[in-house]
Amino acid sequence: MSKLHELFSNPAVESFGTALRFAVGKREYGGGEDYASLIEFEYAENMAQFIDTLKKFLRRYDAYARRYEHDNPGKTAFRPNEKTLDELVRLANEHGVRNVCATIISHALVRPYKEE
Amino acid sequence: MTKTISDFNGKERFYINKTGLELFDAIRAYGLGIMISGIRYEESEVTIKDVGHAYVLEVDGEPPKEPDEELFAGDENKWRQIFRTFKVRKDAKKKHPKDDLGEIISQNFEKILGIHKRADFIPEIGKRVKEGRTLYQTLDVSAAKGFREEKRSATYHEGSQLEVDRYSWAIAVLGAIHFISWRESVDFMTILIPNPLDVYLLEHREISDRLEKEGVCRISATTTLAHYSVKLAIQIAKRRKAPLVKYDSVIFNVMQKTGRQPKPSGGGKYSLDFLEKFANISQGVEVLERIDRLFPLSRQVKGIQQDIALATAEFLIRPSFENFRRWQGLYIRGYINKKSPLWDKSLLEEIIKNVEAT
Repeated sequence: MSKLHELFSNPAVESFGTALRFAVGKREYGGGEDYASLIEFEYAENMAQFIDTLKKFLRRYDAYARRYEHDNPGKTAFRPNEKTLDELVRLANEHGVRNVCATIISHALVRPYKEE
Repeated sequence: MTKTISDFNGKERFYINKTGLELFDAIRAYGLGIMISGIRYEESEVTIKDVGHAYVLEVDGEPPKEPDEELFAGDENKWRQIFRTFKVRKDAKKKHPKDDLGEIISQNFEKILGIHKRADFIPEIGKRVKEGRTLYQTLDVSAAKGFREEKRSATYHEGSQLEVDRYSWAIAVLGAIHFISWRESVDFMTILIPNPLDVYLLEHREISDRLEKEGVCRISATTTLAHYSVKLAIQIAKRRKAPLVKYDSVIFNVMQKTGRQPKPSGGGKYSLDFLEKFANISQGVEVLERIDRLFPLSRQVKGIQQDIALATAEFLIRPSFENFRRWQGLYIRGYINKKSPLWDKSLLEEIIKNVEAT
């Protein structure tokens, strides 16, 4: 089994990938149109860039989630939790930033479960 | 009854020794196979095996004594394509290659079978071969003049034709007519044929006929090769429980169209290892059909769908981490633009399993 597959199966990667999918979607379909984060994930090469990318992404994502909850009263937006953030940093240290970023983007290509 | 060297487990053996011209070798194997099994009656069961230095044909049943007339029928288009560089001249004494082929096979049927029972028969190829025939570039692009001879000298010359003995030529043409897949676009032509690792000819004919009916993506020669290989892998995956065919690669030749005759552009073997991994899993057909849909059949497709098709082809040909990243980067843009649907997690997982990380 490849290292990439091991990363793809990790819940922290899945959680951030799901968030990225919501973030890049078109606004008319409930997305955040956050293309900047997608490009930053694609180009992050080292740990400093990766942490910077995560910070910016979470800030933009928080704004998107609040807007989503405001536009859809009664609905709660999906948010990755702090534990997954720590796990993601650990994975990037262990497996490399480019591999982690690639699997996060891969998860953004996955069809959501019905309950999402 | 005394057994000859060609008798093996009650099966008769025929040999196609390889010359290094990959397409020419494969079509000779298929050609000899169809010559023995025939088209109408299929009395003899033929199996073709690639043993490295040669293709070995094992025949179950008595080989026929004369050729099946149906061998010389076939799709008129294919005949035109294969002999497209042959010019009909009113004053020429030369027969059309199609008539020539019929005559060679009919008059020398048993002789052709006889020489291929010998394990040491190697086709005679050269500038001048006694009673030889032109080895057209449509039978192997490496035979094209421009590929073999230096043109930048003090005086320009057109180069010389390569000839091959008429028996090897005849079976190669038969194989080409009945088994090659000819895919043409506005500016290039691609010739494709799966390399028979261990193939039951009757089953191969069924697969080959099925693939001929299906269109492939002709955005570039690479997408043509990749899409054809995906379609072939689907056929293999569907037969997973009772495999009667085993291919290891797809042999391809590409020619570039010009105002005059087509020019050689390249060729080689595309290994089916990566696609075969999908053919051997339970969700294999689903994964392959999903990849299949990434290749548009229309030549009018532009923009992101075209980019995705090109990136998919590159990734399938070289499934590296960089090609995967490029592919998913384009795919997610296709999703953003509502041109590409999202993946089922399990299907994408199967692809990722086979990508090596950096």
